[in-house]
Amino acid sequence: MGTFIARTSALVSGGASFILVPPAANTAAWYTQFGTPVSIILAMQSVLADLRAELNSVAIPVSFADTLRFQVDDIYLDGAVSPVSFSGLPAGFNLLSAFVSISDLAVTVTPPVTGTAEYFLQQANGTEGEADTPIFPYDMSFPQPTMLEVINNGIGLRVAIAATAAPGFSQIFPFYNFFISGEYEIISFDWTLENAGTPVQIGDEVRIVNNIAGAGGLAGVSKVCVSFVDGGVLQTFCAIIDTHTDDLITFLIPSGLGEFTGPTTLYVTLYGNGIQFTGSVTLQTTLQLLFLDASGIYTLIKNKKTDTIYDRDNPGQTLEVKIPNPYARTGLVGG
Amino acid sequence: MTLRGHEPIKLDKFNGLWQRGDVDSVPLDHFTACRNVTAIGDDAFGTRNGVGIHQTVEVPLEDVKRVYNYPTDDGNTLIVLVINNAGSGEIYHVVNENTIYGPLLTIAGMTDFAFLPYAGRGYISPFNTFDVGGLNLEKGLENEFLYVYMGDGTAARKAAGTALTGALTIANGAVGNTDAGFHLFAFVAETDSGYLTPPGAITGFTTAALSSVSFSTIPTSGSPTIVRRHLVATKVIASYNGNTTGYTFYFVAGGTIENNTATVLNNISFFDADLLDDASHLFDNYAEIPAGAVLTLYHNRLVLAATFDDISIGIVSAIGEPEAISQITGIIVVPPDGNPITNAQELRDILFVTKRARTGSFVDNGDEPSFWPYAVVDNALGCPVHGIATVIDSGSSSVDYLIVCTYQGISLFNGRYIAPELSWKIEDLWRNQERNEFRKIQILNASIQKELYIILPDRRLLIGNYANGMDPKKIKWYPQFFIMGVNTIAVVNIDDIIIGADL
Repeated sequence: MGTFIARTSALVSGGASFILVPPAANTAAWYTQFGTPVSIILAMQSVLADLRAELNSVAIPVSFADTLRFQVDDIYLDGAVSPVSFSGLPAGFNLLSAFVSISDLAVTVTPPVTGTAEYFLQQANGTEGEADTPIFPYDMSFPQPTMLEVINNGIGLRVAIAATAAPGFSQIFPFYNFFISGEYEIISFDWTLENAGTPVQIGDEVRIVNNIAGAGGLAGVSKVCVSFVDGGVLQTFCAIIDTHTDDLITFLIPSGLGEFTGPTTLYVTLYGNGIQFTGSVTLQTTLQLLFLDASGIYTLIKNKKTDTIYDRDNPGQTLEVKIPNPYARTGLVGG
Repeated sequence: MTLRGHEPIKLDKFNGLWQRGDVDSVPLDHFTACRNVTAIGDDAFGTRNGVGIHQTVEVPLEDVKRVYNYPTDDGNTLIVLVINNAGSGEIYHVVNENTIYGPLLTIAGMTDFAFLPYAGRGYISPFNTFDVGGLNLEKGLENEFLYVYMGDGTAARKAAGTALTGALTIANGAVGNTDAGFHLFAFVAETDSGYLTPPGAITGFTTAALSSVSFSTIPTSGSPTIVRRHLVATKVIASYNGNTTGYTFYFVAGGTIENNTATVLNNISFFDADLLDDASHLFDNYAEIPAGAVLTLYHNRLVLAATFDDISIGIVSAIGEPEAISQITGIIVVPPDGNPITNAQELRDILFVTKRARTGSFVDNGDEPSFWPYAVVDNALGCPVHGIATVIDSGSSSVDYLIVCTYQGISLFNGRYIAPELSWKIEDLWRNQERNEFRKIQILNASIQKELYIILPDRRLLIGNYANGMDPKKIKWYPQFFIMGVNTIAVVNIDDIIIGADL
């Protein structure tokens, strides 16, 4: 078992006036450049037209809310100084626990101003922890999140202030060490994709094999899903397994992937059946997923031996494609 | 045992997929797994049929979400929902491979729709899936309505309509006949779909015996869908209390204006005894009919259910007037349980209504719909929104039963769910489908081919071949995979199977 810390690397949305300073080596995450303490209201004054001044003078309640979303890229394993990317994680990396945490953050309403001031840690956008709680554990019950989801969904921070009008101000104190941490294990199987890096599209066969002959373990897989990131959002689709032995899993890239910009990196995640292993493992080898628009209205034609699809790149034209891998397996032969 | 004594096992019968229980228990004449093969003859199998394109136009429809049969007066056509580049739902009328009308209707947030063909017209009700506490529910879109499409390529419009407004100028006409006394007069507008608006421009006048009545300043409608207007009148009111809508109006024979332009109607004679055709119920009708997730026809009445605000009620039209729905007597209620009505379907003269895990029934007792008795049929089994098999061109019964996709499987229903279910052999496959995505299921019964076609939530097309009998042990199941995201199915021209696919 080991530990990991995944740190923020860039602000994705919100907090337009923040100026972020990169972390120093392995000591801290990104942080605001402002001294201690500093009011986010001042920092955001270009957006909010000097809300602090308004708080001092107007006689109506004011409120402020903003959500900062951060990208998470760099993963530090077992206290290492140098980070690795997701693709640099060791084979068999299996997430055991994970927490979003933050240090020193406080959101206050300073008397005589009255009202409420709260912050919420976020995992995926919209998934929030308890108010004013500096740690937010991921739900590891089934189906537990994969490391790919944890990293790609990023982390966030939502601040909400509702202050009544009176002389005074609200503050958000600077924070640091905003990161994801947790524990992992290495599953002692070495699975990989055949023809890694090969461009694939819907209907193409994918083969997962053992790198170590006879090491097995694939029989302990209960589900296979493919994922890709489009527009900053992780899209996950589960496939139907065709061949499932201890050393081989085959499946077709599922259809109905929606519209996305391709080619894009396709990740394959294996979910354990709770016997050989629990949780999930995302294979380090990836494929290139091509976009295919075969949508439209079709007719089933008796005795036709191919599928004819619309060629969206050449209006008025069609493409002949093979019927995807017909097969049948009896209980006696190959069962 | 020596090789000489070995008795070979002969595999010469193939009866499709068996995914039930342990793989070792699969009978030898079944498959433990298969894809893209289908039954050939009684015992054999081969590669499934390929697909061809249905449209030959330069820019065929893409990102298709739903396809319905739309039988018109002169053809068997399709009505299709697609999602456009802006993310809004658009509805098209695909007349044939090279003729397409539309978009007939564009609505943001429409990801599905209910459809009912009626007398050549098409009734369209946009709906969507709503996440309620993690549970996907289908109901009509908020602030959206039932639409009517005339089938001619013109845009769909809101069904029903509002009353004419204004005041009539009434005078005694030429020599004629009326019962002398105070009457209320009004005009009812009729749309091109036959809908009659509530009486409008209500005006009082005291008629004289031996005189007819003449009308001027008859209001016209700004709506181009109004094709004629009808005069309505009360009988003599002995003591008028000023309540213009508190009296019974009747259609006046000979009082129809066959256009939406004339403002004069002269010399109308009638006796009170001639006033037979009651028009008062028109006051109670919806001027705009809220959108729902369910549309069906029962005893020549349109039934719409699962509106945004009332997921457990159905609203039922007058007989033969699908847009005339009383807000008072046209309501039927399934006991609320937090789940919307998902289907309504007639079988053996009974209107069966389902929720996702419940089935009930209403019986037309000859009274107004609000007085129809409700009965529980099954408190555990129901079906999703497209979960009753379509037969040729309507969701309907065939050979006196329905085929219903319940959570337990694909079941025959003849007033009760018959066990074991048809999908008994593939119980594991069925139960592995994501229950919260059962809205994606659509089932079609191709009676000529003797095959069921079921769109599964995992985007496969499951074919159930019942050539050897509609029997759980004789039906042969074959799942199919397509590179297009198959998500809807229809049959046209008796046995042409149409599939629609989105991105």
